[in-house]
Amino acid sequence: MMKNHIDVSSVLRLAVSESYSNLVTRPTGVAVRVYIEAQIQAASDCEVTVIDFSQVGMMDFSCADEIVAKLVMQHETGTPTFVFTGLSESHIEAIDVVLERHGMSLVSHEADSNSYIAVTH
Amino acid sequence: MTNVITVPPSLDDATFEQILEPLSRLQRDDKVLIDARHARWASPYGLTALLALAQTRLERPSLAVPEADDVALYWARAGFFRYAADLYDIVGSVPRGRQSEPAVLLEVTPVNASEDVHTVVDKVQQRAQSILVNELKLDATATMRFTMALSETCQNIVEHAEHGGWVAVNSYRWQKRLGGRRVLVIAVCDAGRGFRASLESAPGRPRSDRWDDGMALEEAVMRGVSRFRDTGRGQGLAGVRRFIGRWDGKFSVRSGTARLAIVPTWDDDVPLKENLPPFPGAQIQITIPERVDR
Repeated sequence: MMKNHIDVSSVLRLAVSESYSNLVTRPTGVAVRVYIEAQIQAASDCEVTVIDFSQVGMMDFSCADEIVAKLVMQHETGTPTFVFTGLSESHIEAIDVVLERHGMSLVSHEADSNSYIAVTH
Repeated sequence: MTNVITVPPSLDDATFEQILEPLSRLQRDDKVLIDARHARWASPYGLTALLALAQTRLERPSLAVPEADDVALYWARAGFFRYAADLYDIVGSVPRGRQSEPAVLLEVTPVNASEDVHTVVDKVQQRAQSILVNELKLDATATMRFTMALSETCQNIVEHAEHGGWVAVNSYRWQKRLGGRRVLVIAVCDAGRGFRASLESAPGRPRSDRWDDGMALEEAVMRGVSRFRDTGRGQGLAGVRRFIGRWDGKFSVRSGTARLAIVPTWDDDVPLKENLPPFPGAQIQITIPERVDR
């Protein structure tokens, strides 16, 4: 199975600003998601896209909604499958809050405890 | 004629109402002198709200500087006069020395655009860790949640105020309350359009029998209602409320003529105050107390 690995921290620096390390504000979230969408398009033969947050400092609710919730919802019925990895406790907290609002939640992906997928309730 | 409004000796979110009360009886183009000569102390809310107040006046107001040197110096080191000089005719001497050395966790900082939120978060993240962990005895993960709360409250200005605002953060020891415990206080104040007008701008918003500033605050803060149709919007302040509860903190939002507060057991405030003197925009305060083992 072909995987597309996307480092969100690199995307943040490329899409928004070299000096940013935190995912805050809705415009930042939109810019990061649009960039990720372009990378998904460019690797359209990949069935799984791994979204790696390990180098991201803080993520607020606005970015969790724009990046995680909207990505998942826009690809809900098709490919790729998104696997979110490198999540800190506070990242998970923000994502859980926004996904709940959309009737979804994060669950562990396979046996790897630091990788998650979003599922509909 | 100039109308003189006296700043209370201790200026915080509660005593700021003593400024708004006489102000509410004036026209917006009446000349006002905000007399802070006898002020002895000001919280982050007091300083940021004074700046927001000046933004509401059509006639440029005047501000009399605190007479006590240490108070004036503190206001200067908190960054207040840097912006007050643009908004007020300053009466009295502003201390010049050591202004570059910050006296607070986050000096008074303008918030006008998303980039400002990034700047605020980056600055505070670096400085907050030791205060949250060493002084407030919170666990290390609190820093991330704290900066999230700061980000969301600042974004409220960018997303809804249609007007720039101000943020300031400081930690200090309460002399009389909470048995002298330390607290960390975030204040975010703007003089923009406020919650009620923001929600009223939502297309197709259903009308209800009761609709006022208090109801607008309940909708936005308690139920996460937003003017945007996108169901993902409106989670910021509701999320902040959740964090604050976990830290036994206090969260208050004033807008228009109402003030809604999430009140912890250590405080005797009321959850909703209505019929306050009208003041445009939104004024938010978060208070996080030092944790004590029970």
